[in-house]
Amino acid sequence: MRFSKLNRRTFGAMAIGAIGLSLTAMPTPAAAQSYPEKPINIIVPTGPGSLVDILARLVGDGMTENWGQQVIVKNIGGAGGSIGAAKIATAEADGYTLGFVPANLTTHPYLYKIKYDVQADFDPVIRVAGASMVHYVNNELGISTEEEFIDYAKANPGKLTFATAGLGSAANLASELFQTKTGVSMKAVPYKKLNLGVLDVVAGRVSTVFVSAAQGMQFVRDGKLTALGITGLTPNPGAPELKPIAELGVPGYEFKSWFGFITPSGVPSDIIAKLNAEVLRQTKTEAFQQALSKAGLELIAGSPEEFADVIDAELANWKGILSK
Amino acid sequence: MELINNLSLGFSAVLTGQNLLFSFFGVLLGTLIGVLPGLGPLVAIAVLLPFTFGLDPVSSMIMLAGIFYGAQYGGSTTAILINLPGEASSIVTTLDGHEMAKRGEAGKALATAAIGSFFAGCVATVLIGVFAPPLAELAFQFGPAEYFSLMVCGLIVSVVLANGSVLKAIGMMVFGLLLGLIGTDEMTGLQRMTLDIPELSDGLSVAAIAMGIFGLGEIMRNLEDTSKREFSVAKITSLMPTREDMKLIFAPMVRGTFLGSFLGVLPGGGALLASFSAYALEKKIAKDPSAFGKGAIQGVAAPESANNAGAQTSFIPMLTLGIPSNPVMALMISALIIQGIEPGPAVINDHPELFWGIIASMWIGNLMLLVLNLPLVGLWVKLVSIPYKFLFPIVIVFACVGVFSINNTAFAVLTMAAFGVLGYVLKKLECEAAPMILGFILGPMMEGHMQRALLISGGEVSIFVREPISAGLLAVAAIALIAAVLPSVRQTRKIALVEED
Amino acid sequence: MKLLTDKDFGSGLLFVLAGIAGLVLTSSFEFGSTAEPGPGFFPVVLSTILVLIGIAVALGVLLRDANPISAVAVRPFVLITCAVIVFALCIERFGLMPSVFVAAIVASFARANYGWSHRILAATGLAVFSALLFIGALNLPVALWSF
Repeated sequence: MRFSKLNRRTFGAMAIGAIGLSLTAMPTPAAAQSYPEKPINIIVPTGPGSLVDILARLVGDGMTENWGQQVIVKNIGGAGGSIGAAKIATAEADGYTLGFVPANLTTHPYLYKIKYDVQADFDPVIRVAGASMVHYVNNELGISTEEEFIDYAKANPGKLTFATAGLGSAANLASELFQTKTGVSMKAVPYKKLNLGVLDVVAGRVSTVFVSAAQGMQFVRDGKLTALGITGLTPNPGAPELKPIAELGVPGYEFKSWFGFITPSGVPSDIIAKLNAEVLRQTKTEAFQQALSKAGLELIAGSPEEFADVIDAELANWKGILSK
Repeated sequence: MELINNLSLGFSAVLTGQNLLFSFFGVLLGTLIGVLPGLGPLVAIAVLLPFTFGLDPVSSMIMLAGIFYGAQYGGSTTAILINLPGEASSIVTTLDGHEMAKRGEAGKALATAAIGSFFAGCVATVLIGVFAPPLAELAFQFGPAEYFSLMVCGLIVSVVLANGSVLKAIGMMVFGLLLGLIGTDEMTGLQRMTLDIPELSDGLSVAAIAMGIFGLGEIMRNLEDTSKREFSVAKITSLMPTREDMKLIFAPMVRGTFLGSFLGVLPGGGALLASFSAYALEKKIAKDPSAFGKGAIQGVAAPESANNAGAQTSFIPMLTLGIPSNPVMALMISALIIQGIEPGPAVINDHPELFWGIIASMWIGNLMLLVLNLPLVGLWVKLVSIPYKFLFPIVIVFACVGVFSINNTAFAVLTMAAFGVLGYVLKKLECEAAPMILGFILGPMMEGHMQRALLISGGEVSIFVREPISAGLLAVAAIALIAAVLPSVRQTRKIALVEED
Repeated sequence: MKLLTDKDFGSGLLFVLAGIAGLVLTSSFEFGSTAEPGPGFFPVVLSTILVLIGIAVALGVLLRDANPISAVAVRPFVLITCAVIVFALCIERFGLMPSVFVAAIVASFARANYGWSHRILAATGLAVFSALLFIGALNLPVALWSF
């Protein structure tokens, strides 16, 4: 991100069409007019079939159709996405290599050995969608509110277990944050695929899990799990009746996952603006909307500036929690 | 009738023009690569995997499944006609199938293989339809301890049924388990045995290992023999078996089908073990075991039924538990994940059209194979007569492109080269690779399940025998292992398995 | 010397070496306990078992007749490995067609009975065929060629 705070604001104005001059990046309108002239690569830092991958392909297919240039999605998974992110960081900053990354990008500096700087080596394009997660607990524990949960956890230290998808996963981050904010201590039970973990919470082998509404609400409806609250501050469309955990006795608790497009830093700002507008267009399609609602995601579709602010804030936040 | 409803749902999902076309394409391609030595279903599926992105889940699975059992079938054709198993699971078919062909009964042998496969396909389809839903229900009861014990059971069975020394097979299995641990530890996120190579942080690629060992290793061995390969392609005379023959093959076909179906369900089972075991069983219970290896028609019917049944039922652990029993199933899981479907006990309820569609497509695929293959035998024979010197570079290139395109990194291709070397060494040392590959696939899963089981139980190892399902599975494993080292069983095993070389 | 070329001795040696490599690479990880198995638990246990099995397999040689390894065909072994390595080195830099061409040429040397004209013809044909199949029909995300 080579835009300073100040420039980002001007940049936002540019994104909505005003002709602005940034001090750090000389816009070259000619570049944006003829862009794209060759195939575009989208690097997805997970294996194929993940939600990130599916969304990237949807957007990519739409762009291919609209621009008449092939948009190729490349999956480069591994090490929590840090291998793919490294590829994005070192790609040529000509607008022909994009990355579509999940929220754990901002945890990379604290969890993995990386050679890139999340702030300096990427330019944010657009934060596409995101969701809060739901805090579920096994029925047999007889817990029905967050307060009861916290009391139980404090009265029985080390007894509660939570399912996670491993270090750096959203489920893990939400649980870690919960433990930091409440002071309770739970034992992590890591799963390679969280769907098995959710089943173990249903069966009572594991006590609790933070996972999407799409992956757990069906068990709540079947009476097998209890949902205590949501990790975000605004209502979750997949579980509209649930209140934010922050309002249920854990003030200041907020966790939201997101997916967004980034580029290597140094891409001309008018190309960024063009990409932002195009992705925005693609998120309006019926296929994309369907994919969002199926996954219980909310559309964010903000400006590059908004995205940059989120990255800055989250980097600062995780620094305190993860680099212990 | 739940079953009829379910199957009709499956058939309605499959009986669309597009899906029939994909099924046809799958079995045709499968037969083609099954016929060509060295090109297994693994390469074909690897190459086609990225292509399945654009398809819907049902079409993609139907096509890939078609390749899988088409290949079994093509493999048998060449096994009978030219004594060259196109696919590993057809190795036993060469024993009696080619002998029959030499005697001038090639047509009969081919028809027996076709009828046996079709019969097994039909029965296995029904068996899956009947048993998969309760098994999926049971799978919901599976916690970490049960998964762990199931994998132990599968590994032991694969060791017991492997060729040669039991001790070496166990060694290979442990070696595979260890290789499987390369990469990021699920629990701590630590990099284990990665030598600081970032590409290793997600572990070695199954496709690269399997193609290196089975593909490249095999080519290296084939090229050892510098003498010109000459095939005596057997002439095909009358196709239909007589009424006498039908009587002879009926019982072996039934036994082969049920044995194959059972072995297919076990992780580590599948077509290869099924065909070997069915052959061994027939030979053991035959009135005249000495006829085997000299063109006994039962020796074609039983393994051919068994490998097809096993190929089909190996979809059960894959779909209901998410446990792949062989590298092909591991790729099938990737194909499902590409579609955003996580294999596990929920698939049958969440995606009934997919689940029953695959089952229905198996039956349709078998029917297609029956009508496709017998008339096309001539074409397949022509294909086999492509000189090997033209064929092997094709196989190498396909393997390279396939491995590269699945993983999108050249590192995977280098991995394949390394495992080609290892594969050749293992062949020279007579170490069977199958238990190693299974160990590799199951290694990280087993460790995860073991750790979770212990975490949840608070460190009580007894959890593995306290849970009834888990205890039962471990008991099966123990019995199988004891049986394998008992002298009397050892003797039969030796007789049954050693001759296949 | 006889011992070294024995199949079982070789297998045992392979297992022992693999087990030792496992131990060297993972013994620094926390072993943990059965209550909380650490990242070193499973690999160290497996490596140890592998070493023991290796020793047992190798010692088995003493109990029976030698079982020598059959002749190794160096030429296909080396050249096929090289062909694959060459493909790996070329594919990201030069794209599909050049990589296939070069790999096929290298691989063709694994078999002696090829003429140069055959070699080039077959490699070219394979490169064109791969382009048609993988990029034309299957649309794999690989560059056709790039220099």
